Amino acid sequence: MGTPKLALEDVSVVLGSKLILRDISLEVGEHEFVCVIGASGGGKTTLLRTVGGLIPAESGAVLLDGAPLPGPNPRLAMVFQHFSLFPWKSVRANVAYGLRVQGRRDDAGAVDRLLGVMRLTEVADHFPHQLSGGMRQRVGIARALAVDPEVLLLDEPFSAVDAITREQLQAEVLALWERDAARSAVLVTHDIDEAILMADRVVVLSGPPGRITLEVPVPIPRPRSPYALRSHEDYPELRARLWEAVRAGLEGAA
Amino acid sequence: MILRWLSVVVILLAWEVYGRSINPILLSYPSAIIESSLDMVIDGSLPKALRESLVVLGTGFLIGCVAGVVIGVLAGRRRALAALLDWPLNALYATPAVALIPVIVVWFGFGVTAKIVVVTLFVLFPVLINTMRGVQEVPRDLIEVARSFCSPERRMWGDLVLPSALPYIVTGLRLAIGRGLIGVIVAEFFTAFAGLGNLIVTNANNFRTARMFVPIVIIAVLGVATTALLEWLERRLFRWRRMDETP
Ligand SMILES: Nc1ncnc2c1ncn2[C@@H]1O[C@H](COP(=O)(O)OP(=O)(O)O)[C@@H](O)[C@H]1O
Ligand SMILES: [Mg+2]
Repeated sequence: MGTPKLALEDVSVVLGSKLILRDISLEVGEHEFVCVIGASGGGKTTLLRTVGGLIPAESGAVLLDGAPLPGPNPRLAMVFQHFSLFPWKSVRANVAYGLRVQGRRDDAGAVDRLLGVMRLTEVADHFPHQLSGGMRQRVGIARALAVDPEVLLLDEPFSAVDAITREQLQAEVLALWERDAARSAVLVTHDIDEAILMADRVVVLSGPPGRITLEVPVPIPRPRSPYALRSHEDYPELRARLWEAVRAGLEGAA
Repeated sequence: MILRWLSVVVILLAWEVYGRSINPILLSYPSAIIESSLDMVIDGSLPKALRESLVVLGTGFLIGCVAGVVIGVLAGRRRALAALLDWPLNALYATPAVALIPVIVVWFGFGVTAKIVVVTLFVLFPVLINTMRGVQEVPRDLIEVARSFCSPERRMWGDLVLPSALPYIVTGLRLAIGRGLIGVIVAEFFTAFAGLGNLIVTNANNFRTARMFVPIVIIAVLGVATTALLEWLERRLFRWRRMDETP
């Protein structure tokens, strides 16, 4: 195996005076989809923010293609848990935001294409407050994909929408990721089924302080659907192992 | 809208009926006020006073607003300045600005300058304090978005700081209009020999009650009109906001 797309080497993070992440080592390959699961408060958001360059690591390093990432980098893009759209910008302006601040031109029409793919064309001139939660997160996803990132970081992106919308969005994100062989993804979630549905590999983060307690590949072939998934022969054992690890992490913390 | 106009009509009618029934020195009534205002336009006293007051109001308002926004933005972004300004600002804000007028007269005399200073002071604080708050209330999660998309610092001003502070600034302006109007009139009471405030005082002293009411009505109309203008501007500017979200 060559250099991984993204690597964390013994990353520890301290916020305030509290150790939040301890010696995290993790590799994400080219076009790999990695899910990080763990109970809330375990440091999942902190992990993503560290990878995104929003908070510095106390020790250790985050590497992109083997080179250290000192801060935010346009080759990574983040989808936020609570959407975090600009309320004063239209849907279109929100999606175009990353390209604009990075001074990049949209010659390929990425914004229009993503508005279409995410079924936002009709509301392109609306403001975020006029949209449902699911639509808002579509904008958040389109905004991240518009800059054509090599690594997509998603922080519990479906936790604030209803169950039906969540299934739709999961399928849409998977389809978009499958279509682009140059894109890796790290998705953080507390939903074990979501992790099994989406991931090539699932990582269990237990804490605080957060540390990786289990790493398992998901052997179920793609394309996956939430229904076919549950009837796959490997599913029950995989789910049981992940659940056990998450629970053990909780008890360890308590 | 109909109800608003209805309330105006009812009040005017009641005033007319009641006003006619009592001594015209104590209270005047609408038709007499209109008549007086025509007289005052013809003899030139009203246009002159209005011009004088508007110059003071306009200049003071402009200086106060610009200074308020500039200082407010700086104080909102620089903790040190905010800490430095905190107590003096609160002390000045709590002091009735009227109390400062004699001091201002001592410093600046009885002329236009003193009056402009008074209006500026009246206007400055609501604008400054609201601007400062608005700049501090930039949502943290959006700052994070801007950073994660590698926004240069200077772009954050236009994308983030200004749009989120603007509603607060406009609220400050709305308060400032009312206070600015009070500022001019009170300043003209004290320093005088010019403006609408002076017109009120001299006519009151001469028991020309109808004439006294003319500048009062004009001030009221001025206040309502500028506030309406600002509200219209607000609706145009803040289409992105929910109706139930006002700072
Ligand atoms: N800015 C901060 N300062 C201090 N502690 C923080 C800060 N942000 C998060 N934490 C703490 O770090 C821990 C992990 O938080 P977080 O990464 O948000 O977990 P998760 O996303 O898994 O719910 C929590 O105990 C939280 O209280
Ligand atoms: Mg979180």
